[in-house]
Order: sequence, then C-alpha cells, then structure tokens
Amino acid sequence: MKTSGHIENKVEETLTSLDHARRASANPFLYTRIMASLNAEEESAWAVALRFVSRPVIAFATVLVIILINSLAFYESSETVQTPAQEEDQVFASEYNLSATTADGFYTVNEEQP
Amino acid sequence: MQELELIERLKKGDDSAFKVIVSTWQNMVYNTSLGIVQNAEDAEDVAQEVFVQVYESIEQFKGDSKFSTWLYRIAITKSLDHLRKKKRKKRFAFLQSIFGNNDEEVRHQPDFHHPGISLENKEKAAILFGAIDKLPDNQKTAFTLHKLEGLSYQEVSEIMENTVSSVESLMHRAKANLRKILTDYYQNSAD
Repeated sequence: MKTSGHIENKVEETLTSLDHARRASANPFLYTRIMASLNAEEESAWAVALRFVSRPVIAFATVLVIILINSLAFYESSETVQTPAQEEDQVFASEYNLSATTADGFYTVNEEQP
Repeated sequence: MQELELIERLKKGDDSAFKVIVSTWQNMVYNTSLGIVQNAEDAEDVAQEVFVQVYESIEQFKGDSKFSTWLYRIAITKSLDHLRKKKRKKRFAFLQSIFGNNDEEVRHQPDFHHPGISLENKEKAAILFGAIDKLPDNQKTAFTLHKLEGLSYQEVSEIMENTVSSVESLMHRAKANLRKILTDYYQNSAD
C-alpha cells in the first residue's frame, strides 16, 4: 500500500541518488577519433564548397544574377537592333552614293507616282 | 600557467598541445554531455564535436574566463543541440509511422544507467535521469552541472553566464519539478 509518507521517502532517496556519483570516463581513443574527424574535414574541401553552393540562398542569388545579366543583355541589344527596312535603305544608299534621307525621299516620290 | 601555455601553443598550431588538452579535459566534457544526452554513444559523438570546435576556434578564446568554463559552455550547447535534433527526428519518425511510410517502429528510449553510480543507487538514478530529461533546458543544465559534475553555484553561474541567485532559483525550481515528476511516477508505478 502506498502512503504519502512512503512515496515522499522514495522521492527524497531518488533525488539524492546522484550525490556520490563518480565521473564517467571517455573512450581512450577519443583523441584518435577527433584527429580522424579533423583530417576528414580538411580532405573534403570540395564537399564544403558544394554544400555552400547548394545552399538555397546562394542558389536563389545565382538565379537572380543570371536573370539580371540576361535582362541587361537583352535591353542592350534591343536598343541597337536595326529593322530590315532600314538595312535595305542603307544598302541602297551606299550602292548609289546617296544619304539615307535622300533614299527615303526617292522612295516617297516613286511610290506617289502611278 | 600551464593551461595558458597549452592554449598559446595550440593557437600556434601545435598538435601535441591539443593532445594534452584532450587528455586533460576529455572526462569532464564526456561526463557533462553524458548527463545531458543520457546515451553513451551520443555523448562520445558530442565530446568529439566539442574538441573539434575547440581545435577550430581556439582563436576565439580570449582568456576572459577559465578554459574549463569555456569548454563547459561548448559541451552544454552541443549536448542541448544534439537533444533537440534527436527529438526532431523522433517526432518525424512518429509522424511517418502514423502515415505508414516508416516500417521501423518508434522505439522507446531505454532507461539510462550512468557508469559512475554505485550499484545500490543504479535503479533510483535511472528513474531520476528519466525525470531530469523532462526538465526545461536551463534547469537541466544547472542540475546536471551541480549534481553530476559537483560544481558550486558560483561555478555554475559563471558557466551559464548568470548570477548566483538566478542559479539558486533555477535549482529550486528544478528540484520542485523533479519532486512533482517523481511523485507522479511512484504513485502510478506498480510497487
């Protein structure tokens, strides 16, 4: 039968059960294990680099940079792009030693005539 | 004096100094970790991690506190991190077992028997360790350092970067919680 006094005694005995505990001893080969672990870390520099590159933040930033470079390249090229009509004008003008504006005028005049 | 000399030698990359450091403090680190993680293999892994960190970040030790205090702090942080990771894994394994994705059953942790406890106290100490495991982290740390490592409240307060009175308060709450857990345990147990 469990009386409250009996339980209290057991609790107090349990609380003091660690009082004279000896210190536990570590594995005698702990130093060897530590050195092996340190050497393994040094060897796997590529693994560290790979882990760094595969971090979500780095991956996201890389994708952003690529998108940015592509957008810039696209913007730059779209500013200098020539339409086929302009290119034709230039070829025509250079063939007959005319300036581009004169060629435009020539077309306009010819197109208006039946 | 010898301690500072060893640290200076380690800072210069002297591996023989590191070997002396490991052999001097390995039992202290292992015993502290063992008290918190309550598993011999896990405590060995934690002790290994602690010394790897010591080797890699010895430059960060400025000598503001005792070297052993710095070591205790690393050991406690690593042990508590280890426990958190283990509990996370356990929860995940439990969820997997609910949804039938994991054939491996969720195993109950067996009673922990500390190797430094005398035979007549072994059973009671195992029950006490089970109760300590249910304490909040700061109470668990204070109780383990004081009871298992035999440190004074002053030393515990230096390690936990607290005042002596807050360590006293932590110990008081830890004992009250343990009494409650143990009373429940003995009321519900068969004998």
